[in-house]
Amino acid sequence: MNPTDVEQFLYHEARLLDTQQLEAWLELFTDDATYWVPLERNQKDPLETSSIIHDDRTLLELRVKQARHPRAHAHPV
Amino acid sequence: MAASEQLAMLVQTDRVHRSVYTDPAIFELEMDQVFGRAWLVLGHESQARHPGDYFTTRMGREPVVVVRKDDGEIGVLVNRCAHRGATVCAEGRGNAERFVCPYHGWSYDRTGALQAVPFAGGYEKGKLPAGLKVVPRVSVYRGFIFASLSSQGEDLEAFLGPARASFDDFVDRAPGGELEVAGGVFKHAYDGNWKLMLENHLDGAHPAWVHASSVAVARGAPEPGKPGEEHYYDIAVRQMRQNGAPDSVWDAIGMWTTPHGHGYMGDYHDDSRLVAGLGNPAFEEYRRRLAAGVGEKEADRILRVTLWNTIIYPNCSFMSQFRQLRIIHPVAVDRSVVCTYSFRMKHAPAQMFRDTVAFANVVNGAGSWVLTDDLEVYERIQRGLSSGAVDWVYLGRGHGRDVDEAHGVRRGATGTSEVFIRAQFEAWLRYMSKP
Repeated sequence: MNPTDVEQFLYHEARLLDTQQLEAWLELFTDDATYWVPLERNQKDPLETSSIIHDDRTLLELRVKQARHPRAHAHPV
Repeated sequence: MAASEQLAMLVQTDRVHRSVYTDPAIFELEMDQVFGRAWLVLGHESQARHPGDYFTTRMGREPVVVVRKDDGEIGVLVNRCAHRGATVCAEGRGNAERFVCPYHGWSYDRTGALQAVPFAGGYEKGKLPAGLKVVPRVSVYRGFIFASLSSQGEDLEAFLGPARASFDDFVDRAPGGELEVAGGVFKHAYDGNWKLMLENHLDGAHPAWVHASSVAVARGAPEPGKPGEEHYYDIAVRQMRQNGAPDSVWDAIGMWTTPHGHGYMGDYHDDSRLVAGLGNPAFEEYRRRLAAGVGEKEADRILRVTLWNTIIYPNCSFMSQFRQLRIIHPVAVDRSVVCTYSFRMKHAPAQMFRDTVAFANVVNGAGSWVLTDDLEVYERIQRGLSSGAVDWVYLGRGHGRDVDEAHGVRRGATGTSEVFIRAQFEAWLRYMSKP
């Protein structure tokens, strides 16, 4: 994989999110994926310090399901 | 008509006028009359243990520095240089010998006294200010730091009244009574009035609606692992499921208020891990350590206390069982900032704090599955209340059926009563009308 491929992949991922193709976005992740948005700068650990998001593949899937729920108020689609 | 009579017209027994959420003039008055007088929760002693340890926060809109002084006491200084007004301490925390203004280098010691002034010869003799403005009253209850911008008023214990029991529950649960703020601070803002948060945290009728989406997905989540083999997020999934408890559970939980507008609700969990940790090895070890300190009987009593959210009016809400504490900072009539803190029980097994972290992420964090729906609703309330077509906000759930108990405590007829909001507005009116 060369740098252009990586760049194109990131554009692809962002486009899926921007266009609300959440299920297709989810498919980008392998079963052992961790989606981690740390809370603190230089945060080393997701278990002893809180995170904005710290999801495994199962939680990511549930997040997408939540966004699709008709009463997900914070996720207007 | 006197201003106090006008205010009294806005707050009636089962309704309030929308302007208490939308009128900038009322907000200004609140900052003076409510946030300028009440005891406010600022934080916890673990955030400033040693001389010079400090952290910044706000009291209403006043930027302040909370600092451990050399005599061991906690001081609270208004974070505003006596010279030209810059904040002398950048936002955050640390340890400082002196607070040095970034503008002209005026420096202040840990008590706020002016220490040194560059170009001192340029000022008239005897005209230099003594130092930073010192917040006149500071008090600590079981490790929690409070302060009041008013030099007069009742002491902290009288202010807290029966709500002290919620802090007792928070601290008693920790083996050795030792708690510390840990795991990072979540900070979020919403475009809505500060009161909206306090009117939500004891509201047992909202989860079924506001949190419907997280309840639904949590019900579809994998079953929690066997004891000792849980997923790290099981505790959060259980909490989200519990938000979908039937109406009968919410009605039965109990809801109490105090004359100062504080309130607390009984626990609505029937979940073994959340309440008693049955069969969970970390919880069993925790219980053993707790009992080693206070004895089996007392440990049993402590763990049987069933409190969920507590509100300390006007700036704090906390969950003693999950060691989460939120402080609300009013910014404008339609803008609020909330800081959320997690606490570690120093002498409990490490897993207990990992549960706290996982719980915070999912339930109270900025990327939370639960909080985000609350914030959306606060903002919708603020937008709706900006309409001039309708004047009144109706607070009638349980009205006329409140039950007076001892020590000024009032209980809602059911756990879903809006008694706690009515109590908040009674306190609000007293603060606002006081000369």
